[in-house]
Amino acid sequence: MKKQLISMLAIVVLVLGVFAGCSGNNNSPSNSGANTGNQGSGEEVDYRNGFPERVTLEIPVYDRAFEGWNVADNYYTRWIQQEFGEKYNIDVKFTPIGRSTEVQDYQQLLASRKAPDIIMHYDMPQALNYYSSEVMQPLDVEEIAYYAPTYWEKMKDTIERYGQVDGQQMFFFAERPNVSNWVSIIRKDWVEAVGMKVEDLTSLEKYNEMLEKWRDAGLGVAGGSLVRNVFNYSYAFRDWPLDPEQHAIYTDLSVADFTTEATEKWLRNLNYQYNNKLIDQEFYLRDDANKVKAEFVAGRTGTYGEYIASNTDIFEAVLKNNPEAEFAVLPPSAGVPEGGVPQGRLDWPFGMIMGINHESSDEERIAVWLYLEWMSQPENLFALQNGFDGENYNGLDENGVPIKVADYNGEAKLSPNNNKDYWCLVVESPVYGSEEETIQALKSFWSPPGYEYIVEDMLKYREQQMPYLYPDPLFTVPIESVSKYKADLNNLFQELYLDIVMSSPDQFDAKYEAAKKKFLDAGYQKILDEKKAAYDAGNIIN
Amino acid sequence: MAVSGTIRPASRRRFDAWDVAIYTVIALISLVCLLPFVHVVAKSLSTDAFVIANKVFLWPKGFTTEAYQKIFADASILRSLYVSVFVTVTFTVLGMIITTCAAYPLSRRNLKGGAVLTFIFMFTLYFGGGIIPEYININNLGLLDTLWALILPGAFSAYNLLIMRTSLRSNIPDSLEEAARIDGAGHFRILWSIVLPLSKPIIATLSLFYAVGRWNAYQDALFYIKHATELRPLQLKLYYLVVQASESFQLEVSNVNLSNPEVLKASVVVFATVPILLVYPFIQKYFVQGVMIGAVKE
Amino acid sequence: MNVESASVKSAKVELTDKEKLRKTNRRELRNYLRQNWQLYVLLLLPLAFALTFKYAPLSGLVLAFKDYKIARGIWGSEWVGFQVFQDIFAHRDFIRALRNTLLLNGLDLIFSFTAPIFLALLLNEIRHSMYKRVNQSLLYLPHFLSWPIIGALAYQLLGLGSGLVNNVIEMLGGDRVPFLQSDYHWLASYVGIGVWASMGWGTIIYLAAISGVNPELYEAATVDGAGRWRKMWNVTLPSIRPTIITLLILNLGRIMGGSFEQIFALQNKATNEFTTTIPVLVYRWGIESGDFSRATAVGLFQSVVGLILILIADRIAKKLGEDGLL
Repeated sequence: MKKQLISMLAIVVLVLGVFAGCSGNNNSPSNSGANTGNQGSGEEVDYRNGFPERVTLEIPVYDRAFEGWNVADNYYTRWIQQEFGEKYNIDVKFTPIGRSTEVQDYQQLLASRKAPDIIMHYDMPQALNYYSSEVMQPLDVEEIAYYAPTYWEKMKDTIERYGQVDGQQMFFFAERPNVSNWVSIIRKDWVEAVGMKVEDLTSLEKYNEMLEKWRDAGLGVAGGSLVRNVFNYSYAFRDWPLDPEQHAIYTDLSVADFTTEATEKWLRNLNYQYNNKLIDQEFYLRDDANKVKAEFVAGRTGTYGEYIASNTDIFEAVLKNNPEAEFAVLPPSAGVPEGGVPQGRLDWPFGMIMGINHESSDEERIAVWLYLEWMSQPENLFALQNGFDGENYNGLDENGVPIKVADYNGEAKLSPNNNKDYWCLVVESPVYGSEEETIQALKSFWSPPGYEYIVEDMLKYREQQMPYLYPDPLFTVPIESVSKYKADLNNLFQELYLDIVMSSPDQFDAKYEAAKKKFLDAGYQKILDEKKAAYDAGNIIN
Repeated sequence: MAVSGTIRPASRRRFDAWDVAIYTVIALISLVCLLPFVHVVAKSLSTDAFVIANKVFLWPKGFTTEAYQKIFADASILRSLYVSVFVTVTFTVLGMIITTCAAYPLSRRNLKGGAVLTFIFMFTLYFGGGIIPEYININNLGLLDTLWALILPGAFSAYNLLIMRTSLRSNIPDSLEEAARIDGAGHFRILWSIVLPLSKPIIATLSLFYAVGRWNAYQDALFYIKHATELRPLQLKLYYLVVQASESFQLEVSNVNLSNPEVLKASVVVFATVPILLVYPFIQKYFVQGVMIGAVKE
Repeated sequence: MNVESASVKSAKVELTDKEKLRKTNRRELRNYLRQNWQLYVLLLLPLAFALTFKYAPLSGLVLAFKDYKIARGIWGSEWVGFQVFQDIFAHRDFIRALRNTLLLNGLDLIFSFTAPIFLALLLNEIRHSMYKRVNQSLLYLPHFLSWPIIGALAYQLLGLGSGLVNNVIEMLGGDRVPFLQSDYHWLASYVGIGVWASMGWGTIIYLAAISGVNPELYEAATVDGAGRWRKMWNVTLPSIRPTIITLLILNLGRIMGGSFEQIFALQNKATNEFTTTIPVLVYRWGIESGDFSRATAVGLFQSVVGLILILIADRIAKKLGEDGLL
């Protein structure tokens, strides 16, 4: 007993001793040396032509660990230093952020005060999380306009509209052209084998009819997957036109709108499909893209969706296992009940969401604006995205798209994702002139050889769907309860919806009622209340 | 008269029914352990399309060594192999030194303050600060982006320490120590000349634990090695190889599909496992009975 | 001489005796240190490592009592006392997670802890050294497969819809078994796969211990007429008892812990009675939500429970005559 007391005492002494040692290194009472705003730029000192003393600019860059490519030191980082850094007397340093561990990376860097000058994320809720963690500093839009006129010209609407939180300008953005390469594919040979045509699939009811025919003919089922993390399933079941308040309170990519009528309809449909064996009976096991793909490639399911690119292997893989397969694009109307319209989610007009590190000095912040300005110049952006004439490509075609040199392996080789992680700070995908010209160009990036018609159809359907696409609601205040409860609600949602979908139809009503209550009690009610309050207070955009 | 090696002719006992039973049971269990590995090897030598469709079991389908070619073609993989070997060897040596230095004193029952010290060491097994405090600590020590961040923190393992202490207590009786003390030997001498030679099995065992543990783990490298990409150990490199090939994110526009990882995953597992499997046969010879006979005349 | 002075005198004598005792103790101590200082020098190295790398981050435990905001750092964040713990214990998933953790780890202890011991004893009976070596190498293979791979394989084999084992069962005329897709079946599969994954590697430590057994003990047993099983029971097992006890106590300390990887690999969302455990919650709150205060608090809870259990187990072991841990 005595020994153990001594032991405990020894531990306490040790730990306290170490506390004392560590706290000296580690304290950061609020913002040391940070700025709570900035002095009027341009009044006292003008850095538009560079800095008198060398400034170190730390830019984050996603590290996807491409082989042979060091994100922090390669031809293009050196080119950036030469073309930009030297001109303005700036040392441009790149901080690698692991793509799949980005939040943790940022947390560690911020905790040890080595985070880059830009804090960025694609996801608005997470960006708001960063804001709530007090790691960003407020911005002065005039300063941005002064130092980055080209960038500002392009982005000012977006920045002013979407970048304010709690009345302060916190975020700035990269542009997102209105493009999407998500496509739903269906086995055309199966459709025709049961005497129907892909064009016949004009409603959910017709689609289910077809699935019944598939089942009876022993062909297979529709593909299914586990809904998790991303909740955009209920669009097709919503009323049209949309009630703005309903939309504001319930639509949320990270929290399911479990208690709405749209969800109920979706659940009923899924329950019907599951019980009648129209859908993958083990759809809940498909919790990642590869597992869904496996079913389609093996020929057990007849539908599949992905972000298509010219080097996709999906068609080849299916053909290897099912040589008789043919493919078509599944019309969006196939998911919509009779009388409805094909509603869907539209991305916001911005791509990367960025803020300035609360510990960045004035000079570092201004250096960021200069960097964005430099990168927004068409010739710089083009070089980063496409490389150099005579090296990576030889001349431009009629659309202004570079004619690539096949298998170019010189020192100016682009990264496997075309240097995206560098220029994603200003734009989300390459732009070639007007919107039409851009789409033309992107078609070549997206179309696998021999399957150009897939991309054509995809674009055609998207055109048709445009009037019914709308973005998520955006609040100008962080909704704390979302970040607090979303992980738990995500898990709860999966449990509940699977239970409902996989039970017999006569149990549906009782189960759904009970489930709604459970969901509300687990934090959803709090989220709804907080959102309603924010909506009523007018803290919302669009 | 120390005898090492296998026991003398006790095999005068015939091979009886129980032996058959035991041999069979062991063989069955080994088979169950082997087959899944064979499955992974089969997947690593198959064509993507069949692997995705879950059609590969114990034999490759659409035989191709494409994934291995991809691995070997990557020069940085070879470098990360060297890094892993260096880190593992250094880690193991350092770990064993530390463990032995702690286990021997603590194994002496009459050590004053022994219980307290054991408690201090054991405490670390169950209490940890968490990811962020550990990261800050490594950062404060200036070890980020160095190989030492992979070698030093884990070198002290309370788990291994306690196992070794138990082993020393059982196998190095106090009488042995007393005899040596009477002969005038100090503890350093005893440790070096008596304890170490007699502890070969446990040293071999713990070395294996240290080595395999270090070889397989990549989570710490994931966060501690960021800028210095040439210092990435093999497992981390392979993790990235698989992960970056399968990523696609909701809010990102990606115009490039990276190659399918299923076969790559499998070949990566094989590639990373085979080296360490080859180590075991060398350790084997230390697991031999009767190393201690004759040392003590009782 | 009156009684008082006599007692005072004797009291004085006693006092001096105590002082004498203390003096002797101190002298003994000094002697001991003089003779055994080398032991303490040896201990300096491990102590240095333990302090620098294990104790230094411990100050982060204080996050369990704070509302951690990264920008304010560990020390600048606001103190909230036991609020975080209250939140956790009141959480709807906590009780179930607690139950599941104890259940799964308990079953693990019963099956995964004992299996390597039996296997090691069996392996020890093999006298063809080549056969023994080959089998040992094979037995270690599962240890080198990571859980995601094992999980994918498990579903490929045991899946209800298209799993190989079920295909075979159906072919032989039986009904398909939901090995992983029904609660109690899942539990059994989880434990079984856990045994499979760890039993081979677990034999190493026991075989090492067995190789330290004095062969003269076996000879003596043979002379006494003991057969194979007798020898196992009376010679081998008792000799490796210290190792078993040490490992048992160490593993008891992990009863509140465990890995979430094994669960993630084998779980599916339709069979969720037993799949929420405390490590899973730590992952969900710590990594997925980035709620560090909560994750640290749960970690602290796990550690404290583990420590208490170890101290109790150690006491019991000592009472039973074993060395124990401390």
